[in-house]
Amino acid sequence: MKALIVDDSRFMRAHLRQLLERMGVECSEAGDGHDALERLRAEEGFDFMLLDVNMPRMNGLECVKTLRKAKLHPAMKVMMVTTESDNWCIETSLTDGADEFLMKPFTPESLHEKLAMLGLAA
Amino acid sequence: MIVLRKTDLLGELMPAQRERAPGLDAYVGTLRIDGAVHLHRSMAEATSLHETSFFRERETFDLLRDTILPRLIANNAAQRRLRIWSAAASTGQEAYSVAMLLREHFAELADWDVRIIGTDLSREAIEYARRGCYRRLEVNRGLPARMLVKHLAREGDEWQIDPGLRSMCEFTQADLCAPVPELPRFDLVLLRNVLLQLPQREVGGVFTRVYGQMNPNGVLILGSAEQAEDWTGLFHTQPGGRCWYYRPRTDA
Repeated sequence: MKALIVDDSRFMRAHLRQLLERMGVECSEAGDGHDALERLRAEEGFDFMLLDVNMPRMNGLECVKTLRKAKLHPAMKVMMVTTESDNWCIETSLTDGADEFLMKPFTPESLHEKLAMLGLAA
Repeated sequence: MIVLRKTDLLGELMPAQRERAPGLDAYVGTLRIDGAVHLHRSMAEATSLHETSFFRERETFDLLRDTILPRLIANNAAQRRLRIWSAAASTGQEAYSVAMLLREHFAELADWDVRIIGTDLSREAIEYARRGCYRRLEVNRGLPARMLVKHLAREGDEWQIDPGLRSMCEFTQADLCAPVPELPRFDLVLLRNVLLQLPQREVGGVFTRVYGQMNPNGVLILGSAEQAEDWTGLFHTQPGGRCWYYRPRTDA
């Protein structure tokens, strides 16, 4: 299993990486939506992406919309992982192509449960 | 594994009782001498676990959706009535999860008389369940985002269960180890992840009381790590996908 972690916080990327690697997931990182799209254009084989919303250059909502329009990695699951919690933001991200939404702060259990909902964890 | 320290335990007890018996040894002594029911109840509340989440053990909800609820609905088509008991309801997520499941997958129940009754030993948990308001860490657990925005409304820092779903659910305090309060006969009983917390000597009595509250065609569901057949001869065990469920024996 291979994941792309997209967050402008180095601390958050390291935290998510640690949790995912414990589950046996191979991780790559990107610091904003623009970097993430470049990475996804250049590299194959991602099973899922954890995507922050508020980031410089390109935010997570624009990123997922562009990704789905361009049909990049069409089978890849996208889960927003963000401090945003308005129903509007959740609905918009789901409409634009995200598969699930996890609010920060989160527990390791809630990350695992959400991945299980997407068929990405047992 | 959960380790309960002495200070944690005392911190959970009512301030007046702490004052009356400062220290765990003194408290145990008071329980022995006094024997007051309210002290035993607060002790039980303090030592109960309230671990719960929406759609906990998802395979159980798949079993309800695919097998059990369609059968119960077919059985009850003449009366158009369904009674569901969340017997260790804690803070209400299980009862509301069932309400969401019914709303999402069984539109034919719209004009049925459906009641989901949640009971729990803890007054505090029951009050919480009645409010139907959940915090960020709670809605992050087990609840798909699509269902969150569909069935809960944002209210400040919390999310409020939709009024229509709340009207299907009611909550009342009850001790499974004592005679049950006035409750209807149930078609479906969820008694999950509570038996492991009970002393072995209480379990048979709990099953007998649950059996007594069930309709003959009803279904009992336990937690995935719990079993009924080891303790009583009151239920038939039925396989259901990756889970088990239990039906009352008519010859018991």
